[in-house]
Amino acid sequence: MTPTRPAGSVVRRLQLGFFVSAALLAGLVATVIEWSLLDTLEQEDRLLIDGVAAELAAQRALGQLEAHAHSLQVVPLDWQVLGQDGQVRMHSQGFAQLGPLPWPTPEQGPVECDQGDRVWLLRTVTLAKSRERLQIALDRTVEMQLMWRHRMVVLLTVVVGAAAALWIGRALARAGLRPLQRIAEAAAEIGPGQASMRLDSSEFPTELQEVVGRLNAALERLHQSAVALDTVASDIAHELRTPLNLLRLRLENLGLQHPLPADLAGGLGAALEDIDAMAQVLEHLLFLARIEHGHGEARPVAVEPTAELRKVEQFFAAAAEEAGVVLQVAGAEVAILADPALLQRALHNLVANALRYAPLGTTVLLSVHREGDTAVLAVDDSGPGLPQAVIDRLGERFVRSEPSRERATGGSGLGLAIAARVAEVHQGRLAARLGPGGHVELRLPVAGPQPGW
Amino acid sequence: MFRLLIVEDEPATAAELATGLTRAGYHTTVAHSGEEALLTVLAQAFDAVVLDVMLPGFSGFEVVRAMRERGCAVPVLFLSALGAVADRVRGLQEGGDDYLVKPFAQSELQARIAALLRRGQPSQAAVPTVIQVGDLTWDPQQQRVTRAGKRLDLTPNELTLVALLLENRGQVVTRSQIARSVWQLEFEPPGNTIDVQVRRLRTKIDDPYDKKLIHTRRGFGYVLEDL
Repeated sequence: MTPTRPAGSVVRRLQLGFFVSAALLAGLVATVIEWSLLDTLEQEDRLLIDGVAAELAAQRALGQLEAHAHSLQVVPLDWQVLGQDGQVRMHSQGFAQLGPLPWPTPEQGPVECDQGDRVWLLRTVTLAKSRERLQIALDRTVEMQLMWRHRMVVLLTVVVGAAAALWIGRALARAGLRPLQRIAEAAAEIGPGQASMRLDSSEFPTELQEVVGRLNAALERLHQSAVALDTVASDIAHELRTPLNLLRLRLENLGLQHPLPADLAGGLGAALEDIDAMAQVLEHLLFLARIEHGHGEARPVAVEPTAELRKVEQFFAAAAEEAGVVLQVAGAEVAILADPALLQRALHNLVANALRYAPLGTTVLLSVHREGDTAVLAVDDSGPGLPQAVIDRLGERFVRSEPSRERATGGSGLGLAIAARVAEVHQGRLAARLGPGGHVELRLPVAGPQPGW
Repeated sequence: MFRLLIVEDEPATAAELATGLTRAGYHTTVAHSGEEALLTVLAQAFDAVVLDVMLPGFSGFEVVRAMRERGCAVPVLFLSALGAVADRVRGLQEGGDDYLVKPFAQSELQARIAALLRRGQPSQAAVPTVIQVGDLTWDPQQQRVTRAGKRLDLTPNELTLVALLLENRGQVVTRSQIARSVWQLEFEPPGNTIDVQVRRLRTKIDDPYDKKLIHTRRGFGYVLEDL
C-alpha cells in the first residue's frame, strides 16, 4: 500500500460542516429579515411623510398651518414653508435646530439623508396655489438605532447558534462513528487464532452493514486461507516426512545388512545425519506453522522460572564446560503460567545461541527478575551480541547474524523465531538488546487471575 | 519369537520396515490397508501392531478403535508424519499405546516395540538387577556405577544416561531417546549438546581404560557394548 496523506478527522469535517451550514442558514434568515424589516419601515415612513405633506399643504391652504407650528409633536417631524423668493414663511418649533440639510427637489420625492449621528427622510412639496415650497424632515434616527440593536441581537443569535452547531455536530459525529469504533475494537482482536470470528451485523446501523459484511467476508477468506495453510502444513509434513522416513529406512538397512568398509560406513552415517538435520528443520517449521495458526500447544501450568532455568543449566552444563564457559543462574521469586515444554524449548534455543557466541572463559548468565506485571527471563553472554539487523527482524524465520558461520555451528536460523512464538503464545514477547554482550529476554506476564486461562 | 503386524500403505516403506524388524528377530506380517489390518489382527495372534496413521480409507485411528471395540488388546505403536502434541494425544486416546513420528531411527522403533512387549510381562522388569557389561557394573538399587571395581564419580544426569545405555546394552540409543529419557524433552534439542554429554561421560567411563565400551554409530546413535 502506498503511503498517502492522512485524510483528516471525520469528526472535524462533520463538525465544520454543521457549523458552516448553521451559520449560512442563520445568516441568510437574518439578512432576509433585516432587509424586509428595513424595507417595510422605509415604505411606512415614505407613506407617512407623503401623508403629512398632504395634510400640511391642506392646512396651509386653509391658513391654519401656523397654529400647528407649536403643536405637540407625536411624530419626530419638522417642517418649514419657503416663499417663492426663498424666504422662510413659517416653520415648526424644532426646525431651527436642524441645521442645513440637502433638500431634494419636489420631483425627487422622499429622500434618505444620513448625517452620521442622525438619519433623516426629507421631502419637498410645492404648494398648489401659493407656489410656496413645503420642506418636511422626518427623523428616523431612533428607528435606525432600534434596527441596529435588532441587528446585534440577530448576529449574537447566529454566533451562539453556530457555536452550538459546532458542539452538536461533534456530538452527533462521534455518536455516528461509535459503531466504527466497535468494528475497530473487534478488528483488533482478529488474530490467527480467531480467524473464525465474525461480527454480528444486526448490531450495526444500516450504513455500516456493508462495511461489516465486507469485514466478515474478509475474515471468512482469512479463515479459509488459515485452514488451507494448516492443510498445507500437514500435507508438507506428510509429503516430506514420509519419503524422508523411507530414505532413512533404506539407508539404515543398507548399512546394517552388509558389513561396509569404514569409508562407506562413514558416508552412510553422514547421510543419515543429514536426513536427521533435514527432519529437524522440517519439525521446526511445522512447529512454527502450528503455533502461528493458533494451534498453540500451550497447556499452561504454574511454573517457577528459576527452576526451569536450573533445568536448562543442567542440560547445557556439559556443553558449557566443553566450550570453556561458566553457566550461572540468578533468580528472583516470580510465578508465571506457562507450558513447561514450550518454555524449555524457547530457553534451549536462547542458551544454545549464547553458548555459540560466548568467548572462552566468560560467563553466560540465565536470570529472572520482575518488572511490574512482567517476568523477564534473560540470557546474557559476553559475545558480540545480536547485530541491529537481527534485532530489527527478531522472531522472523531464517534470520542469522552471520549466515555462513552460524550454519556451520549448528544454527538453523529458526531458534529465535521459535522463542518469539513461544513468548507470544504466552501473551509475552521476545526482546533483545544491542551489544556488546548478547542479551535476549523472554518477557512473560506474571501469574495472576487472568481471563482466558 | 514375537509376531508383529506391520500396517503401512506405502509398499516400499512396508518392505523396509519388515526387513529391519525381521533382522531384529521378529516374525513380521505386512498389511497394506486398514481393512486388511483389521481382518488380519482379528484372525491371527500378534504380540504387537506397528500401525501407520494415515491410511487410505480406514485410518489407523479407526483401526485401533475397531480393534478395541472387538476386545482385541494387542499393543499398538502408531507411526505418523504428524508430530504435534495434539496428534500424539489423540493417538493415545484412540487406544494406541505409543506414538512414533516419522522419520525415525530403526533402533528407536525397536526400543519402543521392546518396551510395549515388556509391558505385557511385568514380572521380569519389576525387580531391578545389577547390570554388567565388560568390567562396567551398574547397581540400580545403590545408584552405583563401577568400572574395574572402582566406583565412578558421576553426576545424577550422567548416572541416568549411563543407565539408559546399560539397559539398552548392545543396542543403539539415539539422541532423541536420550533427550526424552534423560531430560524429559518432548523436542529434539538444538545443536550438538547430547553428543557433548556423551563425550563428557566417556571421559569418566572410557578414557582412563584401554577397552572402550561406549561406541558411536554415526548416523545411528550410541551403543554400549563389550566388543
